[in-house]
Amino acid sequence: MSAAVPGNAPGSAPGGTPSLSVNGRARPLGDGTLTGLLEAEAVNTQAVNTQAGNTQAGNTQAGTSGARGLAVAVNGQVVPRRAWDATRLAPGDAVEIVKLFAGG
Amino acid sequence: MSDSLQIADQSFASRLFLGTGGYPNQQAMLDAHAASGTEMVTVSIRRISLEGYAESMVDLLGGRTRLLPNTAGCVTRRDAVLTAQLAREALGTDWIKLELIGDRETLYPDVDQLVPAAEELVADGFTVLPYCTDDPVVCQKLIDVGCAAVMPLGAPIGSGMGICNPYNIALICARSPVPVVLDAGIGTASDAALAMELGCAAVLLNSAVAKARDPVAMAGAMGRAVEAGRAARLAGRIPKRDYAEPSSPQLGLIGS
Repeated sequence: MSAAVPGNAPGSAPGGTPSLSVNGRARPLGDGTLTGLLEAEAVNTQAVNTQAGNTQAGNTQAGTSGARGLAVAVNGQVVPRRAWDATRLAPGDAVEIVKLFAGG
Repeated sequence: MSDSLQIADQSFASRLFLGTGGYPNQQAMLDAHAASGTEMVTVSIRRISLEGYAESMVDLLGGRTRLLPNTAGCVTRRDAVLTAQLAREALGTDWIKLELIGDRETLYPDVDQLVPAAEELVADGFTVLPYCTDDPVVCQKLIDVGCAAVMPLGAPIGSGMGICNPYNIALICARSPVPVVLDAGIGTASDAALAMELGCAAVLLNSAVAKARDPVAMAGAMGRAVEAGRAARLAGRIPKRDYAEPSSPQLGLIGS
């Protein structure tokens, strides 16, 4: 886990390794798949509930995959759980991985 | 006759909503929620720890209450909208408590960005509950862009000062065609009761319970306070007078 080093070209780590930003910190691109990245960040993608029925009782908008409190965006666009496996990442991409926390 | 609260397409028997932040421990939070009778609690959206993937709030709260995600801490329209979209993906709900902060010390809403952000989210299919100032003009603008409720603050978040401007809150309640939820600044039970007596449809609070000496006891008190304030509102209070009006007969006094 290395932080971005000033002076490197965008989308690359020291030594020219392709990299991207994950939650604001530079990471190696890896195999270029979103699923690969999530698994590398210790997100158990198999534990994420992909059933469409995992929505709150009474919620009328059940259009999402209902991941259990976890969501991902790439370059400012939400990537639904059903699209994770097919999403390819590129050097310089900005990935946000979020979950629910306590709050008022 | 039922006095349930209706927000958008949802009915609530309880007019008290709680937050999930700042409790001494998770069990205290769960016990407080149960003691209060609340049917909806707020949660925030944050980056996961890069060291691991801890138990999620969804797993912890697991269907006991409805979860209302917020955009707490967002200072730009872009971040608030993206946070709301991530929350929808994470929770499978299109309900969002919209917060757009313009001042780090007071946590006052940035209304210049709040209204267009609300409009954008409504157009994207969200049910928007905006945290806003106690300004009748701002509340009307939020209503005009389609918010399902308005949530004016009583005082700064976590301040416990209660309702700083009850006249504005009463005015907002009198004019609003959507539910008014007093959100932020509640310090103790009498503040919650006052909000309901002023005409609010509900109260949302967090710190007043989470940081009370006894959060579970305070949660119970808040639940009863909201019920009492609502009942008093519906019962119709007497007007305030400058002078006394005797409540005992003035005739038949000994010595008269």
